Order: sequence, then structure tokens, then C-alpha cells
Amino acid sequence: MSEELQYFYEDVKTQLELMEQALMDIAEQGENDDAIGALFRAMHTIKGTAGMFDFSEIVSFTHVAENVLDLVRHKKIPLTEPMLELFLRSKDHVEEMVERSIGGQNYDSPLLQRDEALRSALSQTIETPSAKAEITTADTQNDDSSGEKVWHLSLRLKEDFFKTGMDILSIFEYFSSEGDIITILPVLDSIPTLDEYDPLYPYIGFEIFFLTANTIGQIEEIFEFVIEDIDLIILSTDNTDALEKLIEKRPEVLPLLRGASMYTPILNHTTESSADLSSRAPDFPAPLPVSLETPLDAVKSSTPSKSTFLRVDFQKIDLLINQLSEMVTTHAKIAQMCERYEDSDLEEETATFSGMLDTFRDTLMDIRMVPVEESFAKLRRNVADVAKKLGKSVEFAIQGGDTELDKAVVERLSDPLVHMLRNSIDHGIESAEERLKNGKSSQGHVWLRAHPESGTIIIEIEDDGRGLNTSLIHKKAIDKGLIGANDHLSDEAINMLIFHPGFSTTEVVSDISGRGVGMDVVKQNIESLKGRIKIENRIAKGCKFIITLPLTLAIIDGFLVQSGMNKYILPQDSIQEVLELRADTLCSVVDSPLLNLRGELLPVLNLKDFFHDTQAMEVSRQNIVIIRYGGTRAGLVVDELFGEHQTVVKTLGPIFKNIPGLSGGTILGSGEIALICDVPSLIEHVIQNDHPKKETL
Amino acid sequence: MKLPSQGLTIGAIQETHRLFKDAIVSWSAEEIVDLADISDIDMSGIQLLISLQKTIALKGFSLHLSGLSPYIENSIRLSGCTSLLDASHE
Repeated sequence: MSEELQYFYEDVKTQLELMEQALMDIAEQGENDDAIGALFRAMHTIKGTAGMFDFSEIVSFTHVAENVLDLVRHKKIPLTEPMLELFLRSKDHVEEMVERSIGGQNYDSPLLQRDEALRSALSQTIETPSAKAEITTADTQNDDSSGEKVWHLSLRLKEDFFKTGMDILSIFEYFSSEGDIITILPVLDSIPTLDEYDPLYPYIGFEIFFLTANTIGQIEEIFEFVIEDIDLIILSTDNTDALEKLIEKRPEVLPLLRGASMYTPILNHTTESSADLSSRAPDFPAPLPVSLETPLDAVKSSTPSKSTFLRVDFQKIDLLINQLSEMVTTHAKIAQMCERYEDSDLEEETATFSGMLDTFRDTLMDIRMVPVEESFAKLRRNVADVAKKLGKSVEFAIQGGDTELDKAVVERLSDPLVHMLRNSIDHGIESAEERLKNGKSSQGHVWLRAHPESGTIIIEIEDDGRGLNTSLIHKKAIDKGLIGANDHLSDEAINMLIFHPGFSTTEVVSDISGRGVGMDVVKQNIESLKGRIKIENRIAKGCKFIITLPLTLAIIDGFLVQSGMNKYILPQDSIQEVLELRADTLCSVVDSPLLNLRGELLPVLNLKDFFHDTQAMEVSRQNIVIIRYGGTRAGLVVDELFGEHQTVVKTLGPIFKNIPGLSGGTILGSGEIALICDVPSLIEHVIQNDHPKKETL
Repeated sequence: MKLPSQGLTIGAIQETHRLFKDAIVSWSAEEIVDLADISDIDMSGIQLLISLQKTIALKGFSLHLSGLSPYIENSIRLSGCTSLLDASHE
């Protein structure tokens, strides 16, 4: 796919997402001008950009949808509930047309049939008697829209126009789909000779005569994409006042316009002075009520201020991060050399470089971080569709949408969330009758939340439905041979069996969920993101799935320690404090070591023992690092502390991939490998390993 | 002189400007600018051709373009800068 097509595709996706969000907003909160404006802009923008690529079918379809939306936004027809559904289907249809068009695929028969059906349905929405009456009235009130007329467009390109990458020729080409270009007169006076020429500066201007049935507003919209980078004056060719003002402002146009046939009767009667033009005005048709400047100013005021955003290929950011990773590793090597050679000047410079690397890393990582809101918002339609299909009334709330997460994680999170939400509505939320019978409101509730915690991001999917039926899951697991009849499992462990491949408790397989495929894939997907999932179940009250994800997959702030002969990285966000391990620091309850931390007993784990490292290291003192996760704390016994370490996360090979307690590895400046500890899994281990519950002394 | 494929688009326009400036120093008679390899053109390219046309006009020559593909010719016509085509060659 060419770069231009890629940009087109990205733009279309953005517009369609905005359209879907606007439709969901209207469905949930009722009509509002902003949302209707967003719908119109989406169709209008796609029509415009598709035209630049000659995707005529897309142009034609979006034109139909745009016409309907134009009437809606001018309050000539109401936006009814069936129309919301119709526009949602139109959005999907455009999406498929675009994907096929850029992929060079033909439109198949189902798509063509759907195209016809949607066009017909869209057209019918404006064929109600009231709509027709409204349109007729509007037409008679607005001369601009009654038949074709010739417009004069005086166009100048602003200083940075070429640098924006837009080509005005593309817009001229698009003109032909909106009317007939009678003539384009280039204004060449300002173009210097090569010696004084700046190749990036747009000296050229244009006087364009355009025959169209479009209104002035619709003509202005053709320039919507470049409106910030041009100076455009549009005037009706029979508006002598406007012409006079144009000549006053741009005197260079007069010689050009003398040759323009539509102005010949006017200009041949004037002298060189444009002031004389006004004296001729009574001889010409009365000017239309079109202001020379106001319409364009109005367009400008409704256009967001010039964007300071730059669209960058995500792979380029990845490339930068890889380079940064190498820089971090090299920096660590240099820092070690400084220590070895005891060169204070070099040490100082290395420390400065370290600070610069920190800033560079933070900025770069910040580029990758995006609010989850956009991704979450797309799920609203999924929820609405599933609820509608199942005949359930569900209120869906998104909380913490401004929480930021690595874009790579966000993109891969979407599918698991869709599965889980579908399951919550299909299996969790009861029918209205059942809910009322159980003393609940008839409407079910589903929450999707996000918040940061200890260097991770927590995503929760909660419903107030019937909750997981633990005894049924237990029975099914035995029937399927997943566990033995005499196996003793906690309720939590039984509930986690729903993530086992092929597990399903539904008696009737629906097309929404319940095929037993999905939840195992969900778990795999979450784990592939180095995340984990757990369930908090309340029978008859609801169920909460809690997903814990790393903030980023690339570089973390770590704390380097040694235990036995191995070095480990602990994510800094998970460290609360570090203590010296003295003889009286630990006590033992039922053979389990516990740390008495200011009156609170914490479970303790010796990192060397946990990873079965039998090689001892001679140390003068041992240390205990207090780690925390999800409100739980534990002590990690380590031999040596090295301090902060900027850690480039490397994936472990297949042999080490599934070792509990490890999430990755990193290369130290010395070339040694340090293993990155997976703190949540270490804490989970100490809690589940029959440690007595913490007690207060 | 022959221009490279993307020579008349914004990405290469500064290089082409330098190329023209260097080349015209030695022009002492009518020269033909060969666009046979040019596959794309944008407004920055058309504007540069106008500047070249103006520059060599001061030397008393006209600009002759050759090897224009239909696409390039259409683009020039679309811009309204048809004076560039006045002395073009097949």
C-alpha cells in the first residue's frame, strides 16, 4: 500500500470511529449539534478524500449519506432511532468499501446488494412529505442553491503550503466531481527567476471560474483540508461589490480578469481604477446577499486551530526505541568503565549523559502512550449490539478513560475486551424478569474501568449480574476431566477454570458466546501482553474480571539486585522500601518466615531459594526488599543491592518463557544478563504458598 | 537535460532547483528539458518550471519541454500554466 493510501486509510478509520462514537452518543444521550456535526463531517471528509483517489463508488455513497445528514444538521428532518441504525450500517459499509478499494478488490455481490439497499433506505429518509416541504421552502429562500451558477474563486497559497504535503492539483481534480471548471487563470507575477527562487515557497496564485449547483458553503468545504494553509475569496460573478473589493485587495488580478469572459461586460466598461467599478454597479444585476469575507471567516472560525500533530508510522517509533535500547546498554558499559578507571571527569560527563538519556527515554515512551478512552469508546457499540440482540437492557459505563497505556498494548487489548464484555452481557446479566424477581433493577449494568497501580495498569470489567456459578463450573470441570472429583480447589481456582481451552458451561450455544472458545484465547492474549487476569466473583451479585497489564513493553525503571550468583531487576514502582536483614528481623510461624514490619507481619520469600539457585554468595549483609502489588506486600530476601537501573526489557527465550516469577531479561553494561522479576506473580506465590495470613501483633 | 523520475515533486524540488541553476549557466542556445522519466508532478514542480521559463526568457530563449506523458501534460493543463506547453515537443 502506498504511503498516500495508508494515510487515506488511517483518516477514514479515524472518521468512521468518530462517526460511530457520535452515533452512540446520540443513542445514549439524545441529539446534540456536536455529534450531528461529527456525523456530517465524517461522511463529507471521506467523500472528499476518496475523490482524490478516484474511488467513485465511495464518493457516490458518502454523498448520499452526506445529503441526508446535511438535512439533519439543518433541522430539516429529525434523526430518528431507525436512522441511527441505518447510519451505523452505512458506517460499516463504507469501511468495507474502503478496505476493498485500497486492497484493489472488486465489490462482491453481497456488498453491491447492501450498497443498493442502504442507498435506497437513506434516500427514503428524505422523501417524507415534511422533509420535501422543508427542502422546497429552503430552496425558494436561498438563491445559492437554485440551479447552477458561476463562482469566482481567488486562491492564494500560504507560506507553508508546499510543506504540508498537500497538492492543490488534487483539489482541482476533485472540483470536477462537484461542477465544471470553466477556467483556471494562474497568477504568475510573483514567481521570481531561479536566482531569487525559494523552491519551497508557493508564489503562484489562481483565479478560478467554477460552474456548479453547490452553495458557497459547499464550495468552501472542498477546501476544508487545506483551509488553514490558503487564502481563499469566493464571490459570485454577478456580485460587483465583491469584485471591487477583490480588485482592491488583489490588484494583480485585474489584467487577468479582463480576459475572463464572464467579467468582460463589467471590466471593459471600467477604467484602470477599481473605484470606477462601483459607479457601474447599478448597470448590473443586484448583488446577491453574499459577503466577500464573511463566509470564509465563518468556515475558519469553525475549523480547529492549525494542528500541531504529526502523524508518524508506529514502526518508526519502534525503531527509535530499539536504538534507545542500544544506547542505554552502551551507556551502562561506559558507566562501568568510568568506575574501573576512576576518571572523575568522564564520570561527570557520563552522569550528564545519563540524565539526557532519561529525558529522551521518557519523551519517547510518552509518544507511545495513548489514553485508553478511544479504544474503550469503540466497545460501546459492541455492548449495545449484543444487548439488543439478546433483548437485554444494559447500561454501559466507562471509567478512567484518560488512563494512558502503551499503544501496542491498547491495540491488542481490544479483542479480549470484546469477548469479556459479550460474556458479561450474555451469561452475567440476567433477563429483566429474573432481575426484578431477585430484587434488582430491570436494567443491567456493566462497567469498564482503567486505573494505574504500582507501575501497572488495572483494567476491570464488572457486571451486576448473576455472577459465576462456581458449583456448576466445578461439576463441568469434573465431567470434562479437567480436575478429579476429589481434587480440592478454592472457589477462585475453580472459577479460573473458565479460561481453560474448550471450557463452556452454557447449555445452549449462542452466536454471542458460549462456544467455549474465547475465554481461553482472552487469557492467552492477556498473557502475551505480559499481563494477568483474575476473577472476583459474588454469587447473585455480579462478577469482576481484573486484568493487570504492564505500562509499557519496552523500557522500565528497574532496581538491580543480586541473589546467589544471579542478578535480578525489580520494577521500581513495585518497591516500597529496603531494609537490612538482621538476625531479629524475621520470625517464623508454622515454619514460614515472616517479617515484622513496624507491627505488621509480611510473608517473606528468598529470591535465591525461589529460583533454586544453589550457589551461595559471600556477603557481609543481606537485605530485604519490600515489594507491593494490589494492596498486598511481601519481603524479598536478596544478597546485594546495586540501585536504580534503566532496564531495556528483552523477551526470554522459549525455555525460560514460562518460569513463574520472571517477566523478561535485560543485558547489563558488563554484558551480564539480569532477569526481570514479575512482582505480581511473586506475591501471588507467597500468598498461595500456605503462608499464614498476616496478623497484627 | 533530462530530469529524474520524482524531480518535479516537493520531495526533490530543492535538488531540481539547484540542477536548473547550475545548468542554465552554460546554456547559450535553446535547450530542451526532457521530462520522459518524470512520472509525477505537483504544483511545486510546475511553479519551478515557470521560474525556469522566466529565467531563460531573460536570456532571450524559450523553454522547450519534451517527453511529456499524458498525465504530466494533463497536470500542467489543470494548473492553468499552459504557457509551459506552448513550445513542448513530442
